[in-house]
Amino acid sequence: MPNATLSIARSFAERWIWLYTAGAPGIEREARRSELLSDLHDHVETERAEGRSPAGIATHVVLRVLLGIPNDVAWLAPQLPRSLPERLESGSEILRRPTTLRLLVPVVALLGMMNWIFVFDESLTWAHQLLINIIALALIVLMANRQRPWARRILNGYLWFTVIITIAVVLWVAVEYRPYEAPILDQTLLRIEPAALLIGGVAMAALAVAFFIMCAIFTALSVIVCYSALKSGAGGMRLMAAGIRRLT
Amino acid sequence: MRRKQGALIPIEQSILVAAMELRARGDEEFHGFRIAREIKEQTAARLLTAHGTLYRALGRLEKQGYLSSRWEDPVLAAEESRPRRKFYKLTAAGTTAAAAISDSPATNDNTEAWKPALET
Repeated sequence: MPNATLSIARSFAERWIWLYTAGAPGIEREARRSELLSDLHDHVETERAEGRSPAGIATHVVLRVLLGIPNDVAWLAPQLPRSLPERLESGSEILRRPTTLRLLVPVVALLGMMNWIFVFDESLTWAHQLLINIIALALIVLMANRQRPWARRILNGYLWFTVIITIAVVLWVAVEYRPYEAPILDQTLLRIEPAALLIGGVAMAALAVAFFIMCAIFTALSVIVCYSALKSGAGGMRLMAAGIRRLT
Repeated sequence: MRRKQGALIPIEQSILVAAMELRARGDEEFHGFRIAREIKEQTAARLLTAHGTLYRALGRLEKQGYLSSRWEDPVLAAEESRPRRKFYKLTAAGTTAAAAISDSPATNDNTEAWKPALET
């Protein structure tokens, strides 16, 4: 088992390195990753050769990662203003291709379709909902492909409708269902053991934070996709890149 | 609290002094883990310097001209079945700064090690 602990610690360190360097531009990212992976390798091998226990090495590795996180974030921060607009601009190159926009439309429409299923759950059967949305989806794809001004206006309206419905559904689920509470509150242990209550409380708070982060990411992605489509794809991405540059 | 322009913070001073020690022992070049070990030994610390702290400081020292760096030959690393290392070396400015830190009175006082900041 001790070797498993070391593997987990090593994997944790590697994943953190991969995660926080992901936002940096290519050359800096690869250099930083190589250097840190080399350090990690040397650290583990040296302490192993010195006869230190795998659990001891694992603890040391994890502590080195955790204590360095503020500096990792500080290293990443100045890289982002340069890399994010660059990424958006490179994204705009892809969006300029008509095929990408055509592929994007069904994706957004599918997003809307899922929301409609939520909204009309009680009034229509699943088969009806699917049929309606498949027709809507087909119409949207046809309109987007024809590039007519009136078709684009309808498409844009539909996209923004999707965003509004997405936000409404997320808020509704958060207020009415509180999905992060359900699995924990159902545990009878929570009502008996004070320690379980504490653990349950922490877990509930963590789940709530994770849920809201997920909702925020989901909504932000919807807005970005729809904004890009509204501003003719490439133009929208360039506008966003310029906005971020101004802010930073 | 923001650092003064050109001032070296304690970890940067530790790196320069440790690099000087390594050079005195014949190691002209060093990689990140090597310098982390040296700092740990010099300061009798329980832990090696954290990854983020160490490599950010190395990056700053390189940017300020105190260190120069080169990547190891990938063939050599492949032969030893390990990721390739980035080697650092003290520059003339780095040597001067390290000597100044070592000579400063606070350096010899264990409670106030590496305290005075260098102005460049």
